[in-house]
Amino acid sequence: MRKLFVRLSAALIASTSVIAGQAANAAELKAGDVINAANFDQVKNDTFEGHTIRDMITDKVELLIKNYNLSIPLRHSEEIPVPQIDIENTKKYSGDVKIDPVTHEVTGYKTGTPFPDIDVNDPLSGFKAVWNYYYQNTYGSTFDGHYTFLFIDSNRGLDRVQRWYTLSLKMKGRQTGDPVLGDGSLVKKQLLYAVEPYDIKGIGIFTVRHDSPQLEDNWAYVKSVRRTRQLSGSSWMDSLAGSVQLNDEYDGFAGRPSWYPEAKIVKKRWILAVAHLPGPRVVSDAPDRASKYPTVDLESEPFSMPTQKVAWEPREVYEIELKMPNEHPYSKRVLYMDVHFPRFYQVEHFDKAGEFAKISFVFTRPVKGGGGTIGMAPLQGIAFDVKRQEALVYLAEEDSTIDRPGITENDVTLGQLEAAAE
Amino acid sequence: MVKTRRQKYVPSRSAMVLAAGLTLVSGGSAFADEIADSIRVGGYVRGWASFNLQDVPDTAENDRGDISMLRASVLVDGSVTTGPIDWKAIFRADREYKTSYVKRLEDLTRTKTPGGPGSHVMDQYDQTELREFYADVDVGERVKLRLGKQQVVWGESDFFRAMDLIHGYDYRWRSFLEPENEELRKPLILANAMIQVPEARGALQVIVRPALDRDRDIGNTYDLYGGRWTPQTFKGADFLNGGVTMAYDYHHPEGDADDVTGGVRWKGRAGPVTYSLAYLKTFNPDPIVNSAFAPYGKAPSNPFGDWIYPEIDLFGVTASGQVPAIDSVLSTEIVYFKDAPYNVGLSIPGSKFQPAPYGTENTIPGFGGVIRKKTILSMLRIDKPVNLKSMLNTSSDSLLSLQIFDKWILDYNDADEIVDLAGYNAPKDEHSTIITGIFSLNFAGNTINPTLAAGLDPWNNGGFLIPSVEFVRGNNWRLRLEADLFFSADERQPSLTSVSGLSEDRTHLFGTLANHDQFVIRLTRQF
Repeated sequence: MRKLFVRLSAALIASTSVIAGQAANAAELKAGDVINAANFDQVKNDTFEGHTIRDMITDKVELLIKNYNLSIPLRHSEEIPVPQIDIENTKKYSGDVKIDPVTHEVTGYKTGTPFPDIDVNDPLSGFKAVWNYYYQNTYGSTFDGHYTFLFIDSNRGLDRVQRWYTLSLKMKGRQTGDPVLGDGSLVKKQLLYAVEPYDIKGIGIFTVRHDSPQLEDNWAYVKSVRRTRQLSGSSWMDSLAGSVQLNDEYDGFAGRPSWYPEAKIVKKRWILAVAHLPGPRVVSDAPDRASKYPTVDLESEPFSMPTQKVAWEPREVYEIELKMPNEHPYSKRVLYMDVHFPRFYQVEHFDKAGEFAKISFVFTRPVKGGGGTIGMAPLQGIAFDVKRQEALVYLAEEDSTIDRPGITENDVTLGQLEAAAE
Repeated sequence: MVKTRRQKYVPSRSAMVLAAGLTLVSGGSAFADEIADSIRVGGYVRGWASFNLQDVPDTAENDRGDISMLRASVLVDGSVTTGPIDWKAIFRADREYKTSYVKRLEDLTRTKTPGGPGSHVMDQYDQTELREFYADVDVGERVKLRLGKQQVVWGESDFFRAMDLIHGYDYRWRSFLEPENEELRKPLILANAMIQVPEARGALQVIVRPALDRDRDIGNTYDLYGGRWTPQTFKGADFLNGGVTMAYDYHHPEGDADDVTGGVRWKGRAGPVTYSLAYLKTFNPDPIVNSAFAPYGKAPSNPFGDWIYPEIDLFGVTASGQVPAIDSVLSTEIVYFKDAPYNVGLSIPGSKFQPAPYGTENTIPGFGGVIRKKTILSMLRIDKPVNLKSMLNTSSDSLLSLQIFDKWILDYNDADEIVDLAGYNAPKDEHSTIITGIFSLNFAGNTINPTLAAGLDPWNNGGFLIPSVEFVRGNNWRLRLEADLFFSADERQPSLTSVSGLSEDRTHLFGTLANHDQFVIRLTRQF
């Protein structure tokens, strides 16, 4: 017994020494260092801002680094303060918000963060975190501007480009003025217009999101027949224009939380994320493609990864596992949401067999909108399907802004969709 | 009100060239720069080749396999903003090559009824026109005015039109088969006001046609000159040959292109239902015969008569809404015509329109005059997404759309001898019903898009089948392959010189399209 104790002690001392030795040898990386396939195994035990690299990179991101040319330049994290108006709104209104433990539906929401105090041990914490995102998001009361969509074949390169204009107006969760517009039955209204290429130019889509489990109402103006048609709201699980991104994935997550059977916070952790995306993302008069889309690497496979202009910083997040309904193409998603404000940085999608199928990133930065409001909008998104070997990249153009002065509820109506029809 | 269409767009390369030119000319003033920045230009170069899949019995030759159409179009779509006004212009030039089949029909027409437009048929296909040109301006917070030559579409129906009657369509070069019906619709000069009434969750639209259009811009334009889309048995017969057969009369007392027309529509939402109510005074979409043998309102100028477009008044209601229980959208449209015009006169013994001995010109069906009847057009449609991703590896949900369309003559009377089509002896039924269906799929990231469209006339055993596939290559290239197949239990055989041929009484709409089956290739290069 004594010999066994000595042997065990020696093994313990030896392993501790190895770990201590490794810790002693681990370097603190500096801003500007780039993590890539060539050096990942050397730096994975190093730290940045005191966090181990390996701990900040999920195994799916590691797969992208090692196999799909993802490079991660580091930048120091910056605090992104929550706007004072959000703090005040939360204090004033969050007490009225209730969540049903069975249906996971929420009642009583007006504005601010519905569930400001998330306890990861709360069995409803996953749903609360996702409801925070659904209602509040971070892009102020309105968001509008042009988006470029790049449809990419991961073997052949850029296939198609579409440009759309979007105008999104919150009916609840508004930062300034009336917290709720209308009778309180709606969450959001949105107009989308296609700008390019010519065969989709003029198509318009008007969406009304109800504050209930009811499906969204959608109408499309079809320019080729010069008429508006109502569409089925069940398209929330369908693909966006045939791409690898589904309609419930825009900006990380775009479905109603209660439509999903289970949401749980796995843990709090740190990841490397893009929270200060540089601009511009689309340079219209650029002489070549590389300079037209400076934040997307369209020159090397898989043609959808960010360029090294895009730097990543440590962010503390909730790792949330979300189960999909049976009829959904996926079985589950793992989402990574900032703990300080409801914004997703990364989503991992798993197919019906439980296999990793796709990864999405949302790149953002604080933007100042009209009236001085500060928000964080989805400025660049990547949906990379490793099985289909295709990707969709969306890029907010320079005219995108939050809380543009002059936008009212009456600007986002079915009548406006038809009035603007070309 | 934010001007959502007037945001600063990133212009295309062609627009930037124009903008640079404008800046150069103007000397670089700020106003010119603002205009230059707003210029947007797009469009396409497109070509078609269609091939007869059947022999056409009207001709002596075997027409199967012949090229029935070889056509090219260039369309330029431009817009610019000058201060508070958004300007839009769409220009299109069409040219065709006279194929041997087209020449064959033209020669046939020159033999049978020479001297009219059918004898110079390329004039019907070759066009260059400013299709649309209008200005948009906001007046206050609620009103948007669109003034100029434009298209306005009301109603919910596909393929067949109930409320979509503000404009006529040009059916000469491709019949109704071009999928983008904006290319077939004939734009009109309109004053179009859209007034938002958000308090009532809707908008009021007022349309006034001030009668500044060319005469030929009103009503549907058909191949009535003996060409490739002339109904079977009339190929080579030019019924637009003024002085010989017939011609258009655009200034008939009951249908005068100089009359101001227009309408008003309220469209809104009530709960889950989107609805509209409309009144429209317009021209009958199809030309009606003002027969020389039974003049209507005015003696016609031509030996057989004139084609006229009587004015009509209609009241319509539409509704659509999601039905989540069946994951579908249901739509309906009901339009009441106070006085829809029809041609009368059947070539039958004892016809009250046959005062002359049997065998004279008075027996041409439909040439016995005009009658006005209260009529209801109704449509019911279901649109349903179908998830075939697992089964067929589609890239998006597929769409299944089924529609039933009915025309009901309210005070129908057999004794009125209403014909279904002028020149054909089949009587019009009290109910004329057509069932249509469209099934569209998407593959390979929506770059391969097959569609099957079908139509059935259940009472007269006729219909059509249109399988097609569109290939999408990058941003610029689109290739469409399509087969247009028509079937009918009954079709009149060519015997125009024989009076007995005119008494054949079972050919309805799809019978007139007998032996018009074709295969079409359409290639588009967009910019």
